[in-house]
Amino acid sequence: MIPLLFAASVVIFTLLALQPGDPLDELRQQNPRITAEQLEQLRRAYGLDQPIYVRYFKWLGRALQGDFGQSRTYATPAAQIIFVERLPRTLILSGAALTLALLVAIPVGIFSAVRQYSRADYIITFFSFVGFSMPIFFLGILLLFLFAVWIPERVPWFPKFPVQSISDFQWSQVLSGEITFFQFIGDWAFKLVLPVLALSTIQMASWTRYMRASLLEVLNQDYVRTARAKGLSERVVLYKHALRNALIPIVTLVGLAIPGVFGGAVITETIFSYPGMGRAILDSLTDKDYNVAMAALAFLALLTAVFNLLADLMYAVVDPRIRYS
Amino acid sequence: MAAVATTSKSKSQSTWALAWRRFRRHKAAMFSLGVVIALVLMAIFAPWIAPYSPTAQPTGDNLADYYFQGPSWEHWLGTDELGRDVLSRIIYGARISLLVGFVAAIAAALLGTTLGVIAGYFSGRPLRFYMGPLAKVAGGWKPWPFALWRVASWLLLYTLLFLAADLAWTLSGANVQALFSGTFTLNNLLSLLGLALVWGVILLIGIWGLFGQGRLDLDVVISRFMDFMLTIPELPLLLVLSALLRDNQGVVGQWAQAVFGESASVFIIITIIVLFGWIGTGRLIRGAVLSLREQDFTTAAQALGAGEARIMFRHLVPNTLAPLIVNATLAIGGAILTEAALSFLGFGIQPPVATWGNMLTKAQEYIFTAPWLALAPGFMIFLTVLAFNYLGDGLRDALDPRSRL
Amino acid sequence: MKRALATLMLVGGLALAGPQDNSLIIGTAQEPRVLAGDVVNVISNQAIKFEIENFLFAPIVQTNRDLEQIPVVVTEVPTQQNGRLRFANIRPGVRRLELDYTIRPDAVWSDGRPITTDDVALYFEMGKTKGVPSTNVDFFDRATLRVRDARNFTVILEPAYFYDLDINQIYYAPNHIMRAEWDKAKAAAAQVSDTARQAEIFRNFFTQFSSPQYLNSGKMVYSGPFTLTRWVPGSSIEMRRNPRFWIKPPGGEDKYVQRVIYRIIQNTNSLLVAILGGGIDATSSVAISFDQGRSKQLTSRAPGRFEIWAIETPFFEHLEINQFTNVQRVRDLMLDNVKTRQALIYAMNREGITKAFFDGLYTVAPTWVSPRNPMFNPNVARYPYNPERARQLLAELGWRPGPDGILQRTVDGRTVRFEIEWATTAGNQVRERIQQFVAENYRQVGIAVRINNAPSAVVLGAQYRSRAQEGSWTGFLQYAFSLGLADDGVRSACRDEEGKVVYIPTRENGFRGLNFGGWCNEEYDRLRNQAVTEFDVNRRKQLFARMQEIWASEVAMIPLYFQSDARVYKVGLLNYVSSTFANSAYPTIEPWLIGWQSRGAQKVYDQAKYGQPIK
Repeated sequence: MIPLLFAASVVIFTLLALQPGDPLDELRQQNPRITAEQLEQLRRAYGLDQPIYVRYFKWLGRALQGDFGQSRTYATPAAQIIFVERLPRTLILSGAALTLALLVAIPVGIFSAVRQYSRADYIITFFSFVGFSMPIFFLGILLLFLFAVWIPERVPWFPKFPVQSISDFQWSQVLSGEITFFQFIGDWAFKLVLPVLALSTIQMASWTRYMRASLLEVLNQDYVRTARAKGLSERVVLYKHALRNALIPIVTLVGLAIPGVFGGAVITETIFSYPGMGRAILDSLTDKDYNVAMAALAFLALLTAVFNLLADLMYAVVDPRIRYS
Repeated sequence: MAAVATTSKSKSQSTWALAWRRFRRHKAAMFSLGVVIALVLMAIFAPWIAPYSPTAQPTGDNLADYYFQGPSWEHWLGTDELGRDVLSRIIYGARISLLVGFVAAIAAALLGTTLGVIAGYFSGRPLRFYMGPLAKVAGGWKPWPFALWRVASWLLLYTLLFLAADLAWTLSGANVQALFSGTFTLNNLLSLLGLALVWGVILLIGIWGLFGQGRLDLDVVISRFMDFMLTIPELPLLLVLSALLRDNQGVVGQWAQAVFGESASVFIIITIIVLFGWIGTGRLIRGAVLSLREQDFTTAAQALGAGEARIMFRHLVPNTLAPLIVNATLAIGGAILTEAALSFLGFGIQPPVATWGNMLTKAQEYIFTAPWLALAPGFMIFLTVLAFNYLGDGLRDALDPRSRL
Repeated sequence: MKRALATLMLVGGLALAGPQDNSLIIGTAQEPRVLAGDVVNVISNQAIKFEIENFLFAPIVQTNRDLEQIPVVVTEVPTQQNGRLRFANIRPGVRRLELDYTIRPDAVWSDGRPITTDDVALYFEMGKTKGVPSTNVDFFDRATLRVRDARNFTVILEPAYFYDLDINQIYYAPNHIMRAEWDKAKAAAAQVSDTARQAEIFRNFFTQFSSPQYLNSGKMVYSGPFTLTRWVPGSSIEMRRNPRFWIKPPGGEDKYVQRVIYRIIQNTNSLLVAILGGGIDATSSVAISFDQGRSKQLTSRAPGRFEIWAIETPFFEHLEINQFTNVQRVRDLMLDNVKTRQALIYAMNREGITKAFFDGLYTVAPTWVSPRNPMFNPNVARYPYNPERARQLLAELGWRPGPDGILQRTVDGRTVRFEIEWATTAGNQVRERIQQFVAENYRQVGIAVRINNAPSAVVLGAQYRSRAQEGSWTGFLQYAFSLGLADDGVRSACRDEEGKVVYIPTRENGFRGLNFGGWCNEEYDRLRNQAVTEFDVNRRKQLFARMQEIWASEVAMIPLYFQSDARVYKVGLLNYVSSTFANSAYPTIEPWLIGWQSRGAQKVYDQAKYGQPIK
């Protein structure tokens, strides 16, 4: 795993260093009177005059000590932006959305598979594909418009949902007794309703399909038929024999999806004004704030590697037949 | 023996016939097949079907009146931000969207399945990629391609060693001359010691090469490669590529223009989607195969002496079809949308060419002016994905040997 | 249920807004990276930073909406009449400017300490210290400060340029807050020789005084009519009225806005939803797009609730034309020939664009000088849409229609099609719309357009935009720029006074310079070099008038229009007014005057004078 991470960090760093345009382009654009010498001075100040590998090893040396450098765009250390500010927020939003999506999709998928080709199955299929084909920007704006403008204009007692999904309340205010704990939680939860709803709707669609397909596959297997032939009740067959095997591919997919949870959902975060990881990565790339981008991307690479390993181990847990020699 | 061959042949014919019969009974799949054929025909015969040209703009004075019209008899789906007929653009847009969607999704699925099966099947069973000429040949590895590969790998190893030794000699040539010309210094001595060391290492490798063997765990290689690909962030990579491809002074830009020419964009887009698209499939299939290869039917096939390839592709792959088909159907929709995102990053499909993806993206800008602009392309993507889903369902049921129809 | 929801609403922080509690909620699509402590713009020079800092810091002098200078921190604006402004000729082409200022006795920081020349001195010291990566290095290289006493100082500029009188570049920093740390940072930087390390030390110093964490601790002092009370990164910035601010608005300051909150909503569609929902009282200069400002959802809700205005900004949307004759494509199409460029501009229905896309709220620009700039010359060659004239010009150049209707001609035995490449920032809907519209215009005269867009980082990056000489782009490059009132025509210049080509990016000068297309005109350069040091407005106007004539008749670039912004204000909000050139069209100048009519504020500035209503 260490060589993998090393290789990944080298590639990510090189990619960032090769990004079209450097941080000085913006400056030249805004201040055309800057002379060549002044620009050269600034290049040196930003360390852009050094070759890529020198910059990489400097970065690596510091990163290994936990110092990811200063953000160029926010007056904050990169590590603080990523790990203290953005990561917890993203975990709340994307984690809640994934959990909600799975909580709905797994039972619905099972139901859909058990009643294959029934009317209910067709309806579920239809809606899951509507959800899948619905662009999230459309769904997001639609939800915002409905709950923040359209319904409140017509139903006076309806709570007007906020456009900004991030609460102005901070934990320090709870500690200082300015607001109560329940106000704090309530405000955060209320503001997260719409983004979680939007994000999980989109994800629900594909999880339902995967669950349905996986269970159907298992229900056709010989051992399920054997179990049925033995006279076991449908319930036992389904939950004891079939479901366990049907969950194997789902576990793989969840394992693969978890680094994505940390990576955030950039469009959802943008539409609902929720500054999380997705936005941090996109903004740092467009602003050429490479310390932040590097911290975030290297962290995601680490997570991806760890979760791939975990997914491998999980196979063996859910499926005792798998051996690793 | 001959009798067995003929029966197996007639049996295989009947397998396909049986599959087709099963498929026909699947109403949703049949209907979806019709939809997909209709979509493809629509794309092919776009110029005859579309009521207007996809790029025709209104002329005259009050142009703004022609923009953002709602559905009407002249324009069934209304007009867009330049007064162009949305229906015609949808029909023409099918060309690139379907091409990109199908090709990218299928290519990604094929690549992912192949590598996933290989990784899963050979997991924990390293492959001997090199075997010295004097090494003892272990049992179980007698197929003739392996013998051929064996000889080729010797040649390769010894050629490389020769080249390395030659290079080392050439580099230190001046030092050897110094030995005779009397201008020998400490530096020359150190260089010659280095030369001796390099030659020593080469000699050792050569001796090991006579008896030794190299092992390669394909699963480790493929899985680590997949992990590596997953850790590469897409956006920065695409931005760098975008800059490289249009830098006509640079190597990559010149190469892309020379190789692909005018139609570069679609190829590049498909390549990029496949490059990132196969990994999910690969991991999915690998996970499934890890479990399947331990099951009785695999052991049975091995006991019957089936070849590795046959076990992988005739026994294991069909059993992974269920998640594979879901994955591939969703990938088609994904690819159609990714195309728009890639065009946004400057990879090719430039305006005024219509695709469903870029129509949908553009609708975002006008969502408060003309929200219906998002509906038509959104519906087409929905229809395509839904049709493919049922088609996939039907295919799986038809091909599944356990199917009870 | 109802009660529970009502509680939720209160909890949701949806406090009463606008006139009820005399506050102002401004919606913005951009968040400043830093505020306050970054005095010499080391970390950021974003528009939104300057716009918000207008509330927090009083400028030395301020250019108001009518382009007059008013004193804020000082007693008088230096003029030749009051003897506070002096010129000296150093050598031909180089002049020295001396400006005397006196700080008002009642000018104080928000903690009550008087603003003194120590504060001004700290600003100059920061800017001039070697190794400080300030983005206004060019100013500090020319400027020196002479402190006369605690309230009097002189700024000397050499060489001085005309815009030194039009834009205020002199600021000050809180000496009693920042001095101790500054001395430490300076000493630390002196210890190291590595430029990058030095820059980092200085960046950390400025960061320390401008980050949200520091500002939320309440240790910073301000000098403007408002002080910052809370900044929740990614969400909001809250400011309260500073009772110590010395300029009092008519009728007493309690009649004006007491609290200002910036709400950061990055996605402009979401921002529009917030406006429709009534949660936003006004938009900042970085907010919704022009199209969104004209959307039906907004305009149908506007009567009695919102005023929607189109404000012309100094951003000049245009097409640069590659005129480097070493590029094959340029020679084939004869883009270096004035006649070709004239044909290209005649064949383009620019009036159609402004009318059809922007409801006639935009006007076709004749040159790069904005009609709202005092230097504007309306009497230049204009090129109204005239496809006939374009066809005729092209025919004179030897172009004949080919089999596919596209013009072609024979050069050295090769047949050349008139296909012009057009590059711009991908994903910019307005630009892509214009491209496709013009492609249709061009098709009618037999010109094919090959659109070749890329992300703005690529297109506006030095590797692409500055390499026209190497053929990175071979036809049109579309983007926008602005130099505001300081515009000296440098983006069309070619040679400096010594006759060296420095303003055009070429291989010889390391691809520096900002005249990307490479248009070069001797007379224009001579006039421009003269105008830069011409401090007499009328004489400068004459020079600029002639420069614009040359520029237009030569078609140095194809001018499209000056971008307009859509601004939305709630009805009854007064003096939150934008104009094209005052402080780059920020609505927040003279912010002490912003108030609600219903709370007794008086109207001083009328938006109708500086913009057009959107209906």
